[in-house]
Amino acid sequence: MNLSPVATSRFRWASWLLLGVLWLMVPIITLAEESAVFINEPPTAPVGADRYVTDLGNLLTPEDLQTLQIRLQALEESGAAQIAILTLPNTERELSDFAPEIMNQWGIGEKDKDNGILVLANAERIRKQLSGNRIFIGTGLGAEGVLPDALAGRVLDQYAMPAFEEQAFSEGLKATTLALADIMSAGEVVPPSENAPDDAFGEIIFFLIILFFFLYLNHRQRGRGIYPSGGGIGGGLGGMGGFGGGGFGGGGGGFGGGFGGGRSGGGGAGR
Amino acid sequence: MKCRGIASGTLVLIIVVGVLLVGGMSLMGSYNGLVTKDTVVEQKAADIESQLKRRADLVPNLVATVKGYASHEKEIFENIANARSRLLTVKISDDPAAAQAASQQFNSALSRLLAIAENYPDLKADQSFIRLQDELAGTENRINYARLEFNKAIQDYNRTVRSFPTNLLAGIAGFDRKQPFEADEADKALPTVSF
Repeated sequence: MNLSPVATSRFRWASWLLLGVLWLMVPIITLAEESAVFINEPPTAPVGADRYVTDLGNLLTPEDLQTLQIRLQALEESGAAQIAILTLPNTERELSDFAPEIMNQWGIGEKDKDNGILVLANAERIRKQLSGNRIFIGTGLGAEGVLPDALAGRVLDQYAMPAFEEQAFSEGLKATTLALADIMSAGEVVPPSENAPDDAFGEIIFFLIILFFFLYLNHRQRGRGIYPSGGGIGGGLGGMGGFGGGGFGGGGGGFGGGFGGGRSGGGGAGR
Repeated sequence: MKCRGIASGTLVLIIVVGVLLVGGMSLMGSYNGLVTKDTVVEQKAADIESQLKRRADLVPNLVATVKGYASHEKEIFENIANARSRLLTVKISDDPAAAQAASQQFNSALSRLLAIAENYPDLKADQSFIRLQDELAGTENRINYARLEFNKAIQDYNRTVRSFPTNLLAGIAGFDRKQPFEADEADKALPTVSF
């Protein structure tokens, strides 16, 4: 079989074109892969009722994800702790220093209690069963007492590692997180339901005292016939009202759209 | 005419007093700002020290556990005991260089202690040894984090000290630039506990 010169040149032209297109696609493909796989900066903080579990690494089954969302929401509402789970497809970071960065950026934990916990997992290393830097439990400054590093490490040894060895990744994550939730709710001493109304009550009293003080001043000065300064005092009072309102908003925050603004000092344990 | 003279004299006085008052207030404000930032730096340094101390406090327990499996490694136990007492006597704020040296000596002694575990599988599997390693790694992580925070505080402080017009005040009041922490390699290398 003999190809005509025209056909040969056409074939060559087409193959060169194909090669060229492939050549152009190589960097695009690798770029897309890399940007999808490595997460080296904290992702944006999740908001809403299902913010507790962010499964970017696709380690959890839908049922386990559901179970965890419900348990963790109940845990936050009980006031014992705010636990978040974040699985990453892959990362080049050490989980032990990535975790506190994420915790502080997201503000996991209530503002005055710092009772946040982050379960941070690297899906790639877990799936490939590589040693170390697979999973890390980060503890907030206020959670360190109830969950010291040694206990966090034991939880991982007891619940995560055996399951991971049997390729039961979702089960391992779920068991670990539920164990953490149990530890935190058992360790909680002062429920916030007793605490919060107390604070609000104190603020109302403080505000009322200031209000009456200004009203009294105003009244006295009116009695003496010094009218113009009355306006000044009224202005001051308005300012105070604004200050009080701000305080209430800050205290009540945390149950709304996002986490509460808790801090981490780098505590936790990993495997 | 005389009446207006007094009025303008009073006006000048009011302006002078006003300028002095405003100037004084802003001077006080920036001085207090410097003091606040200086205090933050001190507090962050104290955070690092307390974590370093916490790490040193873990050592006696660790030594006791290791002795249970490898009692004949006397030299290593002596080294870590010496390094620990030196670490606890020098303060970062008094002598940063000596503190750094003591920290390095402690780190190398500690890594030798931990390296023993490689030769004793029973020790490596010992539950209390694993717990202590977790505490040690966690403390190390806190130290790194505290250093990061310390450097951030210093950066903030130095920016204020160097910027105009605070730098004039800082020069008079003796607020000097501070040196941030530089992590050395020996420091970084240690207790990354791997299994």
